Amino acid sequence: MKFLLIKDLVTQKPNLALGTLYSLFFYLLFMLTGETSYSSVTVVFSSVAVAWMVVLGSAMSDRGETQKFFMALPVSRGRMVDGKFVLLGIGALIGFLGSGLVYGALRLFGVPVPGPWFQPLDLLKILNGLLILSPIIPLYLRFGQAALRVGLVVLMAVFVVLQVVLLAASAFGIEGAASAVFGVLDRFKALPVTVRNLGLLAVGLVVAAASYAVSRLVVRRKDF
Amino acid sequence: MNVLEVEGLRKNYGRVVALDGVDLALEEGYVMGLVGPNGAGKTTLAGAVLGLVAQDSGGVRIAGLDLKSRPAAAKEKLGFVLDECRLVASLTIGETETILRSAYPRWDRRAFARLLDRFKLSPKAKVKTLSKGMKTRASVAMALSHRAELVVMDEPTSGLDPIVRRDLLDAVGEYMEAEGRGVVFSTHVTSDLDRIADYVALMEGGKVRYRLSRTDIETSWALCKGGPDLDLSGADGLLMGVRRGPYGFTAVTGRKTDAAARFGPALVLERPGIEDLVVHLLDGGSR
Repeated sequence: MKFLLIKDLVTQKPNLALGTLYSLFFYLLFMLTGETSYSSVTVVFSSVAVAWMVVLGSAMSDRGETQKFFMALPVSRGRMVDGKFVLLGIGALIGFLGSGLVYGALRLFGVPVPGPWFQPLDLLKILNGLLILSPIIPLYLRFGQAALRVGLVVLMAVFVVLQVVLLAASAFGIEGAASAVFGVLDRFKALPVTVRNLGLLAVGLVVAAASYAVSRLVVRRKDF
Repeated sequence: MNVLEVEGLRKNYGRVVALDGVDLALEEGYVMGLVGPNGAGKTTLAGAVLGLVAQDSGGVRIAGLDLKSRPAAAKEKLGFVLDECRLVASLTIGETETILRSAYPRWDRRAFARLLDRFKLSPKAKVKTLSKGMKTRASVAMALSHRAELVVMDEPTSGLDPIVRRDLLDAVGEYMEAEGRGVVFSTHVTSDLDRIADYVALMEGGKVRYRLSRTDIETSWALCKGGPDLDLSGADGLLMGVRRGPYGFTAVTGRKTDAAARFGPALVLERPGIEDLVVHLLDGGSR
C-alpha cells in the first residue's frame, strides 16, 4: 500500500502545492466578506478541499488506465481500497497544515487574522466533510475516472437545480414545499452546534462504512 | 521448482468463456511462449497470472506462492510488461522508479540504471514524451530490475520495429542467464518465439490445446508438403491441419518418422516454425 500512497503523492504534487494556495484564497475571501471567525472556517474548508482534490486528482491520473499497471505491482485488492481512504486522510492533514502555515505567515506579517487557527470542533467538521463525500471512492472504483467526472458534474447540477427550485418556490409563493425544506433546515440549525456535528458524524460514519464495504466488494470482483 | 503453476483456471465474461480450465506449469530456467488467434485467452491468462483478472475458479501459484491467498508476496516475485504502456504519463522514468523502489523489496537500482543506459533512456524523460518503442523499453527495464522469478510479457513486441524487438529479446535472454527465473511471453509475432521460447503453449477457445517443447518440435514435429495427387486416406491421425491449395497441401505432424515411412519421398518434411504449428493446429482442421 505504501507505494500506492507514494504514487498518489508524487502524481498529486501540483495539487498539494495548490492546496496551500487554496488556504490563502479562503483566508482572503473570508477576510473580505467580513466573516468574524474565518480562521476556523478556512481550516475546515482547506482540509476538506485539499483531501478531495488529491483523491479526485489521483482518480483523474488514471486516464491512461494506469490502475492496471499499479494493480500488477505487489499489493492486494483490499489494500488498494485502503490506500484510497488513507490518501483522503493524508490530503486532509496536508490541507490542515497548509492552512496553519498560511495563518502563521499572515500573523507574522502583521495581518489581523482572527485567532485561534483552529478549534477542537473544527476537527469534527473536517471529519464530517471527509466522511460524507466518501461514496465518491466506490463510484470511481466501479465506473472509472470518466464516469466520476460526469457524476460530479451531475451532482453539482442537482444541487444548483435544487437551489433554483427552492428559491423559485419561495419567490412565487409556492410556500408549502419550500417552507417544509427550510423548516427542516431551521430546526437543524437550532440544535446546539456540537449536537449538530455529532449527528452529522454519525451519518458520516455510516456513509463511510458503507462506501468502504462497497469499495472492497467492487474491487474484489473487478477485472483491471 | 516451478515458477508458475496454473490449475483449472476458469474465467467467464458473461456468457463468453475466456478461460476454460487452463492447466499450465513452467519450470525455472525456461521461456514459454503463449500463442493463438485473437480471443484465444492469452491476454486473459496473462491478466490472471498478474492478478488483474478476477478468476472464477482454479488457482495460480507464482514461485510456490498462491496468488489468491498471498497476492502481494506472490506479485513481488513477478515482473511484467503489459500490452500497452500503462505508466503515468505525467511522471518521469525516475519518478516511476521511486514508486517501484518502494513496491519491490528486491529492487536493484544499479540493474535499472544499466538497463536505462542500454536502452538509451534518461531517468528525467517524462513518460508522455516517449515513443511506443521507448515506453516498451522502459517497461522492460522495470520488469527486469527486481530479480523477479517470473516475468510475464503480454504482446510486448507488437507494433515495434525489428531493432527494438531484437533489443528486448536480447535483454530477456540475458535476464534468463541467472538461475531461478522464467518468462511467459504472449505474442502474435511467432518469429520472436522461434528465437527465445523453450516451450510453446498453443491456445484456442480459452484452452491450452498443445504444450510443446523446443525439443519436441525439433525431434518429432515437421511441416509436411505434398502434391495435389497424394492420397491422404488413412492419414488422419498422422497429418494434422491439412490445408489444400491448387498446387498441393501443407500439414503438420507430430510423428515425422511415421509420416516419412508412410508417404516416402512424395511427402516433403521440413522443420516447422511456430507459425506453421499455429496455422495448422489451431485453424479448425482441413481445408
